[in-house]
Order: sequence, then structure tokens, then C-alpha cells
Amino acid sequence: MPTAESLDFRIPSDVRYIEEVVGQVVQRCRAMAFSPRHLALNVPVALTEALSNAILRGNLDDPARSVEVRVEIDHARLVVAVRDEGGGFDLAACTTDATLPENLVREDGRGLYLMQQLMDEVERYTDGGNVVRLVLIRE
Amino acid sequence: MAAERAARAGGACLAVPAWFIFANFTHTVTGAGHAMSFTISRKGDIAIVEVEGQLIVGNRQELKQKIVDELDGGVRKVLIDFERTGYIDSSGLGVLVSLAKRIRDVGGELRLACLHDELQTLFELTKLDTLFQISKTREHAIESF
Repeated sequence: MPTAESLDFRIPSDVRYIEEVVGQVVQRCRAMAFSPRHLALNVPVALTEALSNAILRGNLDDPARSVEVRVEIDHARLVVAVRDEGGGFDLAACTTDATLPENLVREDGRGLYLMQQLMDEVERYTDGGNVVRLVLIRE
Repeated sequence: MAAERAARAGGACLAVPAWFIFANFTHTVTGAGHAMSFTISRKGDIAIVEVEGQLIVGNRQELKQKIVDELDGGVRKVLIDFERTGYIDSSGLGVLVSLAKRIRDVGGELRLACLHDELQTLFELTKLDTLFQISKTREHAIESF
């Protein structure tokens, strides 16, 4: 088993790139012996949410803008930072509890909620771009 | 849940990483990795939709359109089979909610079947397991109409 690995991606703002980025990250997590549940649920869903938010909300689906992804994986955890060219957002204010009765029949509004349910840490900050950082502790 | 897991891991609160500098992009993606397909078959008056691959932001409208086409063609019973589905994101869940409403509005019925453990967890996390009628097998779903 490798001891640590880092990956860097830059993709255009096009949702068709998401699945391939997610696939490569899951593949590396598998090599680090992450649990089947992490490989089939936590990592792909949370990363897909972060990427689609960056593409559709951060970069407003503008193909001229890029999304950058930095991934660090080791035996203890996965850390992913997704940077877009948008102005950022208030993570707490934008997150709604998708399980409340009034939200249950909504078509949208589950992305940030799922990210926070599936990751051990989610934070957003500005660092020359808008960054969402996800941390998953290996089981 | 995340907070509890973080606490178990020592309550680590990680600082903003200094390594967040994108000088070298060592991995390339082509945008062609879009492995998903939908298959629609009929059993009596039931349209059975099999989702193979991921149901995510990049393909959710395709599923929606296929099922709307079925409704426009007069179908009122729809069964979505997830046996060969990988993962579903919030957009995919949103499309299922949208379809449930659309099917109900025309007097139809929707059933979901064959969710693997991780998909079942996803529905439970979002409480969508309370919104949909979910069967363990396709046969049970067919019988439930």
C-alpha cells in the first residue's frame, strides 16, 4: 500500500468532467484501503457535490473559468480542496437541513447538507479563489 | 455525525493548508468519463427503468426526459431499478423528487427498487426513504402497484 499520494487537477467548468475526477480520487482511496462505504458513498457523493457547486454556482457554468482540485491521501485521511473563481459563500448560511419536512419535497438544497453529513470536516475560505475543503478520516 | 467522527479521531481541527498552490497539474481528465446508461422495458403496463452507472448532475436530465416521454406516451406506472447504479448525488435525488411529483400529478405511481446499502444510506440520510416507496427487489416493487 502506498503511504501517501497527492493529485492535482484543473478542469473547465463543465459537469462532464466530474465523474472522471471522482473516479480517479476513488481509485487512489481504494489503493489506501479506505472502507467500501467510503469508496461507494462518502467520497464520490461529497466530491461530486463540491465539484458541481464549484462549476455551477462558483463559476456560473462559464467554460472559460476553471476549477482546481488538490487531493492528499494517506493512511489516515483524505483531504480535498476544490477552488473555483467565484466570490465565495457563507457555508453555514447556505446549508439547509434537507430532512426538515418543508425541505423534503424540494428538488434542490441537498448538496451542502450531504457534504457535511458525509465528510468529517467541511470548510470554505478564500485564498485567491473560493475554496471548499473536505476532510474524511479513514475508518 | 461528522463532528462525532472528528471527535473520535482526536478532535483535530485542521488549519488552512499551506500546500494549496496549484503549480503543477499532474493528472489530466478528458471529460469523456461519462459511463452511464438508462434502459427502459415494459412489464404489462409498468415501465421499468434501469439506471446503470452514476445518476448525477451531468446526466439527470436525460433520465427525467426519458420518463417524461413515457408519461407523455400514456404510462402511469414507473419502476426505477437501481441494481446497477453506482452513486447518486443531490441533483440525482432532486430529479427523483421532481419525477415523483410529476408522476403523481398525472395520477401515476412511482416505485424504486434494488438500492444497495450505500444508496439506502443516502436515502435515509436525506429522509427520502420516507418520501418514496422503496422495494428490495424488482418483483416486490411490481407487486406493490
